[in-house]
Amino acid sequence: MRADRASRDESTTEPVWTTALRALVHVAAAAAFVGPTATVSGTVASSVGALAGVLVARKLASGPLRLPIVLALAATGLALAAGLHGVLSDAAWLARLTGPALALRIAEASLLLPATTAVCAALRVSSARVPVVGVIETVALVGATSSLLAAHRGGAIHRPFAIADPIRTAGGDPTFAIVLIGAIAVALSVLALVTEQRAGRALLHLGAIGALLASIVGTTRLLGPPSPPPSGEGLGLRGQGRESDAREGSDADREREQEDLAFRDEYRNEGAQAPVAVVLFHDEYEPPSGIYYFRQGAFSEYNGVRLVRTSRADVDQDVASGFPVRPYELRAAPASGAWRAQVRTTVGLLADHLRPFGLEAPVRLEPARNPDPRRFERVYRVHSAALLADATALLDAPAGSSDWSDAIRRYYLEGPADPRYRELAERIVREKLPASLRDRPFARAVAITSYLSEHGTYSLRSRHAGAPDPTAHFLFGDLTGYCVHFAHAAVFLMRSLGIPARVATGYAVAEEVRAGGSAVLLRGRDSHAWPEVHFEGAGWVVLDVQPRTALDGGAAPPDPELQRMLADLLRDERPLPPDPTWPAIARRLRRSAGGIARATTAAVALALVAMALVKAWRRLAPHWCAPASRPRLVYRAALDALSDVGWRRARGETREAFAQRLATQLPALVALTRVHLAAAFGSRVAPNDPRTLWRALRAQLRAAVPWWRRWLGTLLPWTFLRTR
Amino acid sequence: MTEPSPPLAHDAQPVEALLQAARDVAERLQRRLQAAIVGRDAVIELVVVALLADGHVLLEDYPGSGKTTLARVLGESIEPEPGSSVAPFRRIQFTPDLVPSDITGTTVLDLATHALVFRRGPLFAHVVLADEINRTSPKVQSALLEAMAEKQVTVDEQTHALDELFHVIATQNPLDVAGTYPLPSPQLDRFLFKIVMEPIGREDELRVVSRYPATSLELAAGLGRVRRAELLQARATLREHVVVAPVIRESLVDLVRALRADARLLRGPSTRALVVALPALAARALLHGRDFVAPEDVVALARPLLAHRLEPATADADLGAIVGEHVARAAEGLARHSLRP
Repeated sequence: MRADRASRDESTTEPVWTTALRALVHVAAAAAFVGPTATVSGTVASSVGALAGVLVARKLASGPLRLPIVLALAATGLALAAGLHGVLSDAAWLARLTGPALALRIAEASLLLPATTAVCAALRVSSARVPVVGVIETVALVGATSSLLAAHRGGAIHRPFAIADPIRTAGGDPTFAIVLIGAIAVALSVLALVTEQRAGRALLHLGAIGALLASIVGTTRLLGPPSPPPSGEGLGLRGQGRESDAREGSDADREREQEDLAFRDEYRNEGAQAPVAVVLFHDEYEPPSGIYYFRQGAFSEYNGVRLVRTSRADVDQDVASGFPVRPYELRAAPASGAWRAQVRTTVGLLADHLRPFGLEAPVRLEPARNPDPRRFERVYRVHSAALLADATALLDAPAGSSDWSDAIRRYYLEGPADPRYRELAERIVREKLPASLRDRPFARAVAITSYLSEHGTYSLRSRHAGAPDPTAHFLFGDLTGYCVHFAHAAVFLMRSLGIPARVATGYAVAEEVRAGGSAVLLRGRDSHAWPEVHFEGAGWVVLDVQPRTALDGGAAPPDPELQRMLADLLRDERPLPPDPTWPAIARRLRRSAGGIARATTAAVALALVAMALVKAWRRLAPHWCAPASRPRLVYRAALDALSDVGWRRARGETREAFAQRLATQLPALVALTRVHLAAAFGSRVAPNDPRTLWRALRAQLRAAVPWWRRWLGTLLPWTFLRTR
Repeated sequence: MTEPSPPLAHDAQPVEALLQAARDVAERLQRRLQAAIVGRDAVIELVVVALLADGHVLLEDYPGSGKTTLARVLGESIEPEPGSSVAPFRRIQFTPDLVPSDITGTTVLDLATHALVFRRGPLFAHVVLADEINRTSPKVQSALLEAMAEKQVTVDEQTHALDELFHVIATQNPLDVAGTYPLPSPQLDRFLFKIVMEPIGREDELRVVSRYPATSLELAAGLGRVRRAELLQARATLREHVVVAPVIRESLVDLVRALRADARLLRGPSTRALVVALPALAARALLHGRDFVAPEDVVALARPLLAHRLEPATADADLGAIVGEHVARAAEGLARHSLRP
């Protein structure tokens, strides 16, 4: 009860501006919370309700009603509002009276207005009475505001539409506006929270807020648009916040990449929904497998446990090693021809990547203009030789290449010495293939992948990493793992049969994700590793394993709106027709700008001249005024002279105190003030002549202030406005 | 600018001379007090202002802060008129067992004449130190307060007038309140000033100590004293010749009304506060060599004048700060007014 009373007293003295600030925060939060689901009139009703709630709370907080009663009243208000809403929604007479549209609005407002009033008032009164609830109030307000922006998460810069669309139409970046809204909401809430408490508590809160801000400042990028949420490093595809312009990946990068392709028991996929890149197709291409593979790296060297990035210079030369600074061709890229068709694509990276990737088999990389450097980390163009041939065409192709030396062929066949691989591979070939196909490399490879697809289980959680040979542990164990396991198993099985194979990494996206558009959006979750086999004439061909059973649920395809919008950004096109309002206003402004500028200049000049005249008059008036008003006018002229050099009486300070303050530099001011006050407050004693004091004061002023400061002050016509 | 002042019955000196004489009285008092008491110039000024303005003073202080010295030196600065039976200084230590006649005096039977004669109590003095006034019963308090308000005492239905120059300096200890009878606020209203004495600084305390072996009273003794008639003349002078401009009066009324309207206060200052404020302001103006009351006087006196007449709405309200807030507003208004034609 005592605490109750104490806080009540505290709220009695709440300044008006604090209430105004609170009202602002509550109104904004109510509008943000209700806005997306209500009509405009409903939003207005809830804003009015919030304002009313804050005002009611201001009265109630210092009133005699106890908190439980106030809360009970608020609950009753809510119930009554719900009841009224129910009655009005079903009321046929209302609809007949006002027409259905207005009736709907009235019914909506009848719920929203009293409900927001009750909720805001309850929150405010509780937090005014019980200081701890201030935190809850703040959380509620921030929560309401962030509910508006929640659709924006996961890098969806086009959400919420109501905010993003108008800004995009006007040519702006919605991310800025959304971040700004969030920042304003946080700042206002923080202000409200700080003003809520007494000085001691406010200090504590300020400390906590300071720590919070420091952590935010320390962990976020403050300049430029916020980067998309972290999407992890995928399979070592992306470097986090690192530039690697080097054509040759540095050792550290290579180290990391190998590290990341390692077998992990739990493959964490944070931020998997965040977009990492957009790929624009300039040529129509439908992959025979129904999946677009974007290769970034290849792993072909057997290091005794798994496959790692090659240390040789003469293999895997079709893998791009660095981002293009000028156009360059990849060595050992497959020729387009009967097997492959040229497909041109433009890649816009939204997250930093260690190396460029390109559709299936990149042939040529070209740098491209970045249409929006704030949005895209890097943009480049890729010419790929994409595979057209299907299984029938490849069936007869021999594995490997006739250009390869024996060393290279051996290199691509290296694998674990474990005999079980070969036994299993041969069993698979025996069981899966008819005798006529058993000697065809393509058929044998497909048999292996289809065996793995049938028997394997996809899961991001597995228990193989600890084993000496994780691939064997996976393959001869529970066959449960993710793409790295499957790719390794497939490659080792193929190599044991003498088929040159490797693991490639990059992104894999189903064709239907394109949804008829000319772009695909790659997200963090699309990173993938798959086996590839080399065939004479066709080059490296993707032979992926697609496990039938998956323990992890599938994910929704990317938002087609976002995909289209990012593609348009990459094409440097506006997705929405430009709004003619803004240019029209701008044009009109431009046309009238000259007139406005001239009028403004004239007005400013006139004002300056007028001020200069007034100032001169005030300075000269003591010379010809009536003796009765001379003390006042001399004193005013003296004050103007002090204002010129920036000395000015503080508000609430008496004239005597002001003179005392300057007494060491300007002793004459004390006497002059006395003369002025004597005249102003009715002294009957004959005064000294203020003009001699004024002369003395000027001499003292000259001694105390440098000449340029005095001249500057004299020349500025507005200084007398500061005189009080 | 000089207007002829209305002729005074007992004196026809020019106004400047009268003002100078009054100022001289105040300065002599101040000088004696300053010689005896170190580091309390502000308190001394207020006490002298109160004496000139014919108002009583309540000192709130801790034991040993020099209040007795202050009162004694003030009393002894007044030269008694030859043949007067009024003592310059009396001290009354208030205790719970005191009865009103202990301070007012009592009627006794004179055995020689067989007549009832009135034996005067300690109130028959120029300066009375009422020490720890909150320790005595309300009965004694009200006897003192009647004497303060009416300048007379009533004993056995006989009214005895006190001297025209009757000045009470009452003290109370703000901390040690156990077993006390706090003065009710209507009675506080009868004091012109309540002065809160702050502890003095180290330098001043050193100066106090370094004066040993001379005592305060000895140090003050050599300086010129003030005759009772001079003091009364000074009071008359400031009533007659120190100007309180209408705008200052207006500002005072507005200040008091604003305090009454303040939600943080249960009770604002009385109208009496306004009435007694005028001579106090005039006395301060005189002390500062002016024949007019300036805004500075309002600012300087507002707190001792008004703070004890307020009743706060909450226990922890800072009355001084509240008064300061309103006074700053009044001072701003006065400062602005002075530049207007």
